[in-house]
Amino acid sequence: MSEIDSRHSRIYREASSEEPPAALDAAILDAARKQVAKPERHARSPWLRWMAPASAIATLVLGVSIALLVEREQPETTRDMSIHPIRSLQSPSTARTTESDLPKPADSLAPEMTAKPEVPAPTAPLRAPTATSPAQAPAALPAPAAPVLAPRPAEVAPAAAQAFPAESRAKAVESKLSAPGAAAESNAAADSALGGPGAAAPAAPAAAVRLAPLRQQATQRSPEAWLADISRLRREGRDKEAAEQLAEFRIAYPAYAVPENLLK
Amino acid sequence: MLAYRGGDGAAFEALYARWRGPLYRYFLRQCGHAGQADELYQDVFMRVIHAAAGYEPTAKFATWLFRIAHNRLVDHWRKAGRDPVDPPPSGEDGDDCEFDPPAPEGGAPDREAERKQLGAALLAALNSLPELQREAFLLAEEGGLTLEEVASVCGVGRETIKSRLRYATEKLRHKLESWR
Repeated sequence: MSEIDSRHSRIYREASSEEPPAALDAAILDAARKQVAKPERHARSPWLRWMAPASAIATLVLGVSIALLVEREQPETTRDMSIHPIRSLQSPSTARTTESDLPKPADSLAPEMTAKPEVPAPTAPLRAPTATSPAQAPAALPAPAAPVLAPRPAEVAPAAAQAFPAESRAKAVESKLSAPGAAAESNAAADSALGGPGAAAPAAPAAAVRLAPLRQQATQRSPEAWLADISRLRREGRDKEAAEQLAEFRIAYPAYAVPENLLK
Repeated sequence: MLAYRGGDGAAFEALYARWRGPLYRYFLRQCGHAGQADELYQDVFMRVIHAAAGYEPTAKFATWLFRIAHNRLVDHWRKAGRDPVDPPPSGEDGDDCEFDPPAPEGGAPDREAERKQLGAALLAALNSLPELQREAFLLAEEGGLTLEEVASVCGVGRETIKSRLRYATEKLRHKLESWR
């Protein structure tokens, strides 16, 4: 440092050699060693050592459990979320054709349908394999334009009736053929099959007994598999059984778009 | 210090070996009493040890160490009822010290003895400096700090430290004039 005379600096360094007593050195170094040893003891604590891995494993297990639970409760919904892109892949002309072929709301809302607007939410997926083909679109129209993920129950019935005229017709026929009160049973059955809010309501014990197999079928078979079985029955000429199965299918999956060839 | 913070005890020993002498002499020169110097010295190193966990290298270790030492010394002075202030600028002769270092003995026997006497004279002259000027000198010499670092330790401006050092040097030069 230029402010200090270098001669003074040299003389000072030569003359200045005092050092602290050895006892002070020992006391300070001992304190320093103790200070270092403290964190080590904490680090060796088994709880602290295993806390991070245990937390990670617990988080992982919890996450997987929740994912499995969700998958098990809504298998069809999660699976058919992949259907959405199909709609976007359609050419604009196809989409226009599909929309133009949709019946107007006034046409599709038959009196029978409007009489029971409380049809439960269709948690079952909407699937229309023919919708991607423009040639078949008029027949199978509904699925691509319809909402797939569970909408609110109040909104579902009219929307489903608009989007699925074939289904509406089938319901109309079904309700005409059924005895009085059958519509209510149908609704209850649908609720039961879908695990909807009305499932727990003890509306009709007899109907519950009758619909138990339906519930079982709905949980055991996917809608696609069920429709495939119905189609097979049709091919084998067992039309009566096929019609019964289709009626049951309708009850279990009221909002599902049934291929046109099965409705004939 | 970072290594010590990370649990390396040997790192502190190396650090201590490097700074034990300078820090001790800083207190010894400022207090003039070995007992007080011991107490302050130990207290500062204890603070260093306890502050190691939160140590962040925002400055040179020496700057950090001597800032702790400076603060401890100021506390000590306040407790003792002393409040060191910068003395007014001295006269042209710079002779505002009450203490006069010993003059060289006539016909010194040999060079070694002369150097020892010169060293003692310098320490005596240093001891006669005002505390703040002495502190600036000690921080520069013992701590190896720059002007800016000394200013940072003392909490004053660079020019203030420069002025203190210039006065200190002039006084030392005046006291040791007879040794030329």
